[in-house]
Amino acid sequence: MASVPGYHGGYLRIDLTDRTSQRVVWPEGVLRRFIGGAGLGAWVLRHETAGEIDPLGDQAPLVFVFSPLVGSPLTTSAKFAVLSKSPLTGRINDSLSSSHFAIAGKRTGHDAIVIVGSAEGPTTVVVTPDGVRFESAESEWGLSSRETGERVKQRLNAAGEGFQVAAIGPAGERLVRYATISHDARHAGRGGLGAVMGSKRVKAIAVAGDRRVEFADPGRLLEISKDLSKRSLGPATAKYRELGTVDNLVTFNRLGSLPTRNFQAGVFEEAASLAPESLEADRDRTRASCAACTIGCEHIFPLADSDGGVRMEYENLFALGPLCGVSDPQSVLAASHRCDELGLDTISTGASIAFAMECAERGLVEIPGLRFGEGEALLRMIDDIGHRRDWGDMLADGTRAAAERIGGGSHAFAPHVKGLEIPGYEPRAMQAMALGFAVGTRGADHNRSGAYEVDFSPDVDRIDAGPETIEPVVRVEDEAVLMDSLILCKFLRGVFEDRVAGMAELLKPVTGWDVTSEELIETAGRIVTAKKVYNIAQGWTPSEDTLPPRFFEETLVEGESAGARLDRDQLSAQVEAYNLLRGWTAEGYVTDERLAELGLA
Amino acid sequence: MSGETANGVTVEFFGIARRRAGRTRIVVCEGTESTRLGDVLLAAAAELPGLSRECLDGSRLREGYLANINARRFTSDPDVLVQAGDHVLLLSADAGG
Repeated sequence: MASVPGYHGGYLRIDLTDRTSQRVVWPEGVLRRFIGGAGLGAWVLRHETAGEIDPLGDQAPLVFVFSPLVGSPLTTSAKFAVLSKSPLTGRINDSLSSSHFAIAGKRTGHDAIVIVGSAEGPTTVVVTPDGVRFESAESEWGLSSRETGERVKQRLNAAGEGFQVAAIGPAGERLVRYATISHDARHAGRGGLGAVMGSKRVKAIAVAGDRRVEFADPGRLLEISKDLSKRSLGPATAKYRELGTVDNLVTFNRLGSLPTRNFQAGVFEEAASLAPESLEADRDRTRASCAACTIGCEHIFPLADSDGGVRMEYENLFALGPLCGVSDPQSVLAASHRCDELGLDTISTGASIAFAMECAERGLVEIPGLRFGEGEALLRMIDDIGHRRDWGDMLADGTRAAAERIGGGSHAFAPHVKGLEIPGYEPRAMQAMALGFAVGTRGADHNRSGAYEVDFSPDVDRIDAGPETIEPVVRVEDEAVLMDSLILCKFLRGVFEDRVAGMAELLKPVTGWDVTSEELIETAGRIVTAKKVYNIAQGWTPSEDTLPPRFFEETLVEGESAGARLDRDQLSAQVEAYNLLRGWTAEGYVTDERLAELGLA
Repeated sequence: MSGETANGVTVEFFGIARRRAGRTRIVVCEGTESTRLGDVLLAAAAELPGLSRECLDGSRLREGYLANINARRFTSDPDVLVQAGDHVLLLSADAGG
């Protein structure tokens, strides 16, 4: 295939079992039809997966994908996607992370790196343009991903090659099913990618190189990059720059949509104690940003009795705070820090512990000290999960598996969709988001479906969402999948007057493609469908596209969303309408005709 | 005009709007039964210059901001009618987390 600007033209396939690697050239048309990041990763995962697989088995591929924009001067473009079959959900999983690993990874001369097989012992995989080598990671095994990254970089960069490292922590080594892969404390967090890497005994992957891609129109690219950077400093991103996402907590509480005590309520009476000003205590927070980013959304809050700090986002704040009934700021900050060190997804960790707290309060399990509001118990359980000790061993498999073992009707309040724990949007109070959760190919997820935007709009009544919800839910999912494929940070959303047209304008000078909004919408539908087809091949059934019984059977009783609950028939009708709008059958299967239309046959 | 009373419209500030306003809420349009959202915002801006400068363009919300009536329905339409006793929440339009 002729070289396409913005790309290197192929991916690197590494087999750990026989310690070999090979270059795989992209088939004609694949790049334009899947772009990069999560989209191209979905193609690779499908291409590299034969039949129904064990996500922690040797044959399971772990896919790191860069994107055409990486290496360009476009703000927020230093991102990469990691994909696998999730050991938590048994379905497709794609998580994104950011910064220098993306740039260094692409400079290896590959558009993606696929790892299959498993190593005999703890291993660091080192990738450069000269090839692949495998180094022992015995001395890093047991360390946090942060410590591992520092050590590996120090060792490899002695020769000044500029290596960047993605690594797993102890949770990944122990196959915790929601373990993360981390680079520079930024996590590809959801769905257990760290467990997949741990199952292959890969502690770290280090990348460096000097291979740069050509861009189709460098002059125009520089021009639009300057304009985008300027717009990224406007009012649409002020919230992220000045306050960070932690500020959502107070707003969501006011709206009665803050998940509290394992989704038993939408209001947390002690929310003010977790407001940003309370988290800062007696020392100011600091700010940081990813490589090649002008926004700088990361707000790092000081830890008590330490010189260090912890990056806080709304999701770790809600999950380790209100969801567990914990209002002590230092307990929540410490909990988030421990999750970072162990390499745990904070949403699934908080939700698993909150679920266990409710089970304990209902008398279904006896776990000493574990009750809502108990910060010390929260911290102990995080350690137990990360090391798979005692009850933590069971919770390390997620809430769906834990409910199966605990029984007693606990499945009704295990907060997951397809096994992925629900993020910080109360579905009864944000019913467009409920639909987004239900149909999400990786489970309950706020990054792949941005349907909370629909709830936060004049278009729908957020606690009584009707048929008018469907089209905008599809639209924001399309926009999200395109941003995840280019890849651009979603915090840029607000700077585009027309997001899809804006993304088309960015792709043109990078790739040289005369791409239109219409083509990108079709591309989005193709990528979403490719993920769906992957899931069907891995055993998906229509019964998965729903929410736990709690949300249909229990009404919110406090706050501004009091009286809200989901209607099972209404959600089912919405899921059917969503499926039909996607061009699938009403049940959600994909016909041969639709596959052919999208070039997926 | 400030401080909460049973009359008037209470404007609550969240996120950047709170930072620009320098307070959490204000009561405006006391003595009127019904008024336009735009007039409520103008009344708030008249007392809070920081809010006026960055969040409002006349009686309209600037890009990046959104209003919500009584914590239920979102709107940016300045012609929406607001009743005495209502709460107008002024917040960031982007709820991403």
